[in-house]
Amino acid sequence: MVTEMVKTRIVVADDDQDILDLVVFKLTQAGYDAVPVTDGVAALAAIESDLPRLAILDVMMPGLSGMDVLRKVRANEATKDLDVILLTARARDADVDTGFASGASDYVIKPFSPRELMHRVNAVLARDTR
Amino acid sequence: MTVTQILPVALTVVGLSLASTLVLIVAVKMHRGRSSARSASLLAPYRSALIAIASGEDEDGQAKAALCAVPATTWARLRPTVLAFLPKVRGASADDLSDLMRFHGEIDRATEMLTSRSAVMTRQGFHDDSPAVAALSHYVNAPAGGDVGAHAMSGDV
Repeated sequence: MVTEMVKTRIVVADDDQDILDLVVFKLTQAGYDAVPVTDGVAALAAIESDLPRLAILDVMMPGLSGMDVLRKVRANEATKDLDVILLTARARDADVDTGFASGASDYVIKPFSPRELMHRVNAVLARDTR
Repeated sequence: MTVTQILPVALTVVGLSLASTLVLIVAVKMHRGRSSARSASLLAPYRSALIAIASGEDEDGQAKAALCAVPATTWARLRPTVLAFLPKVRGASADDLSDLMRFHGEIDRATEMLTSRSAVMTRQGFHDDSPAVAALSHYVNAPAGGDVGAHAMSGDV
């Protein structure tokens, strides 16, 4: 009997196709099940339809922004405990403060190091398994 | 000639002009669409290699070797995509992309653009690919694989 390991599902939302492809590739190489979406509405739909373990959200996206998605996720009883990493070019201290105040698990500023992003992903996922 | 005689002729001329302009716009759009699709299909085999480099997953250097080996004509099409990735990543990924750019002579080109005594040429350098060329400028005179650019790319400078 072959036992198939269930991969950890991570929703990745970014309207920049280059960054989306890059992050999805990196996560897939690391053994995660990465689900790519290109806007906030699709991100929320992907999160609500099949709760992932983590969501990596760009902040500035068409439709719903990453921050809007984060607030909706936190307001929903079914999704409120989801880990969310904001991946954004908004680098001002006030933006970072707003991100964490809205409930982000972590905040990564673009341009970013893909290797560092993976460390952050692993760290966020490890928090809950301790 | 009276107005009633001129009017139909004028309307016909205007109508024909509008129709030919419309045909021209459609033809240009179709040409651009075909050209863009052709370019995308040509670059498709290289995109996965580029993503491997940009994501720092090219540990054996195969992807970089493959992209260094592309002929100049292919590089000319690939160049904007590589430039587009450059300002989006930092660290080892940015260094690897800059090595690729260096291999294809882009660092020399950027150096020439940025240090040119011609204001027009300098402005052109930034205008063409900004902000990518601006990002690339951090690698000007930096040793290959050095970390000068990585610090500059982080936005800490």
